[in-house]
Amino acid sequence: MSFVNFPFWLVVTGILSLVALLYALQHLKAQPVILRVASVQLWQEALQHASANKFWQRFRHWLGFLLAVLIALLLWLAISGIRFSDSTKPLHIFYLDTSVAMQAGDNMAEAKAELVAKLPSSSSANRELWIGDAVPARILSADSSNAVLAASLNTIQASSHLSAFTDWLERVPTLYAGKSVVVHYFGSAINDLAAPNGIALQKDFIPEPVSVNAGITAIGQQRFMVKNEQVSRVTFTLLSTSDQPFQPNDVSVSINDRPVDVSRIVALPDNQFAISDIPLTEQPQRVTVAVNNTDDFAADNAATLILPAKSQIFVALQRGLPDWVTHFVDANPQLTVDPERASVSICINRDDTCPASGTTLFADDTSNKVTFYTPVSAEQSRLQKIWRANYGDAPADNMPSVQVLNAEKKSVSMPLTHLGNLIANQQAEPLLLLSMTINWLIDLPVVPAYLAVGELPPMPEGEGLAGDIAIKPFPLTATQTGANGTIAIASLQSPAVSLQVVTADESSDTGESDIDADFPWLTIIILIALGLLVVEWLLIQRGHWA
Amino acid sequence: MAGDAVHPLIDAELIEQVQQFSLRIALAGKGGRLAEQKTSAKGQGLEFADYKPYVAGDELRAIDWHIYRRLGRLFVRVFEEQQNLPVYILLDHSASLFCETPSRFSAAQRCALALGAIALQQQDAVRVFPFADKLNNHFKALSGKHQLFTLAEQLQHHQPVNDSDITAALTEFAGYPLRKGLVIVISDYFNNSGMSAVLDALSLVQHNKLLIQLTQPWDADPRHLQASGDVRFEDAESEVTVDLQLSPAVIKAYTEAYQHFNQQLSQYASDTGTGLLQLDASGAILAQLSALFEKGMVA
Repeated sequence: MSFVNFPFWLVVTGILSLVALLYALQHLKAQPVILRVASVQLWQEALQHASANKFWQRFRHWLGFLLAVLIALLLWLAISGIRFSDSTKPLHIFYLDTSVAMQAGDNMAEAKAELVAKLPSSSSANRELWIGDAVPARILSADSSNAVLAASLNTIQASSHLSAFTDWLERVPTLYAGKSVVVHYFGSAINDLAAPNGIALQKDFIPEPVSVNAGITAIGQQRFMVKNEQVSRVTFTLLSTSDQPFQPNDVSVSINDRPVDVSRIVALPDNQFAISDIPLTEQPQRVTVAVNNTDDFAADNAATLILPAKSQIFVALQRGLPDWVTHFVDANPQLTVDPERASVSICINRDDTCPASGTTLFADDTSNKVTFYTPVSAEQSRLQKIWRANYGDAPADNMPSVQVLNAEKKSVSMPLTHLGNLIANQQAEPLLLLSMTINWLIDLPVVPAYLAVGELPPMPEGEGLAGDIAIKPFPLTATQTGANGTIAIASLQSPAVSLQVVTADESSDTGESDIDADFPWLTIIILIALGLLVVEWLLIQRGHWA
Repeated sequence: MAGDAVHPLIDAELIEQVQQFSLRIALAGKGGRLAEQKTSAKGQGLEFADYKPYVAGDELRAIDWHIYRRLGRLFVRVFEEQQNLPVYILLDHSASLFCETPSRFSAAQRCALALGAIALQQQDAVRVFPFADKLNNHFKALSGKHQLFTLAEQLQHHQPVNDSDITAALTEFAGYPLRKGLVIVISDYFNNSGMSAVLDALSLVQHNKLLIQLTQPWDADPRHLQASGDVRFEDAESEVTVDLQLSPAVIKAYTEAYQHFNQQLSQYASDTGTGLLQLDASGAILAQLSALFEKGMVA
């Protein structure tokens, strides 16, 4: 016996509290009506002859109390999610993976058919069914009938997310501590996957490898200025199991569902393509890229990218700034000098003349370092990654090094004099650095130059993304090696799905603890409680059956 | 004269209405004053009864000289002597008669006064014996219409007494050497020893008897109590309580017990030719007394 919804101590505490409460309430019960009569002699005779004088009637108040306690305890146990199962037998967990690889061919339908066929082989009292979505969830628990389990599978489809089976499998010993567990896996997990100690893993269904596939493996965009206009360049990479090179007319591109002329698609080496000079607008735009062919695996045939909206940032400038900074702000259509509405101040000195605003960028020429102050420790990894991506190749004596320090408030200090010298030597990186720094200060999402499908997008501050995840190379684990050595890659459709996967990883504990109560037991217990309630009302309170 | 004042117990309308009734018994006891009741005594009176041979000491005016002329022997005429009827009113003033509204004792007072008024009207002797735990014989007999106020006074001032014993009172009364008359027992007849003991005590009373049983509507039908669920009945005269659930089964059992209780009293009245009136204390007294006289329940 175990409890799904509450810990054992809470259940016991609840039981004791209920009994004490009901006992106290006994003293609040209605007092009998007192009638003074000429003689009680005849009432005494009536009691001697009436069936109301049965033995149990003398204890009807205590019987009522016991029934009330029983009813309350039954309801409390039902709320607590009491479960009855035979702990001596192993628990069979059927895991149906709905990750992206299951979209290939009839993988999902075949997996479900195999699962339905396997279900009757285990006892309903020691069986669970998990759906391997981005957040694995137990949709039906023990004591569910085969018919109910089979019917519940009808609406389940594969979706575009990475398989969470590996992480879930690692947590099984924690979830089912002390239990003997057999995991029946239905999906396209990696072949050499090993189960944790004490857990038996049976791969009851492994789909056939994908033989023919062509798809989009990466897509991204870069925003820059062209003639005082904010534009974006979108690039994407195609991959095929055949060695045939792709041409621009092999793909269809649309922006907000308006087709893009194929002449704007430029082929780059290694099956990379680019669409340049897409003007940014006041609203975000959706770029959709689709491969114009059919294959065994449809999930990677289309990808969607959201272009950021045109941004406008109000800045305040302190007197004495280098001329290149002033010229940069005046020439940048994204930036507008407005001390009243400024969200970023750029100052040469940390004194009272520095305009007060939300965040501040200071000049610091004491060292050749750009220092980011941030209250979010996770920013450190991300900033360093962005720095390496943009300035990693720059000579050390040209570009300043970066450091990230914890602070209560966001701010940046950088050697403006040194950067001005670089600009004087016809280098453009300091301007890009200044632009990205201002965007970072006001929390505008900075889209990296190139975003692989499935790669982490930059996370806004405060979403609690762990640093080790941010710098971890994002694996495209949904790959399969075919019999002839060809590799099928299961990619993700958009950065939004990537975000969902990350969120799933962070909140997997919550998903796994959100377990349905045992439906049959809950129903039975509530019905028994209601029945007892009626019995108490009829037998004890009303005396109709006396 | 005290009778000139209006007594709070005296309901003039009731007294006037009951004047039309009269109390008669078959044969009153000898030894009373001349009145309207037939007795076994022969002597002074208006109605001729018989002849008997003259003996020394007989009234010379009673000699029938016509018979002497025809037979040559002296016979005297004998007349039925009509004397007054002794009416003994045994009034129960136990606490059980006071605990309800309207109280049974109030009805008992009015009933006793009405019956007493009838007796006084016909020159009978009325004597009140209040009783509860014991019999009270302090009151003297009253006679004559002018004693109505005194009778009301004797009926009025009685306090409720716990632990009443009607059997002891009847037994004590039966032992009194009283002239045979009419005994009116006004009570609820509830007795801890049961109805059988009451009937045994009644059998000891060698008088003509009229039993007035004071009832309330809820005696026969507990639904008039307007109570349900758990009820605690408290005895008016003792500390005894009965806790029960007023279920249909219990009500049925009580109704059967009450019917048996009444049946015992009715059977006794029927077997002994005793008058019995079940007087609803919550109802009109006069109408119920009228029924008593119309049915001829007075022996």
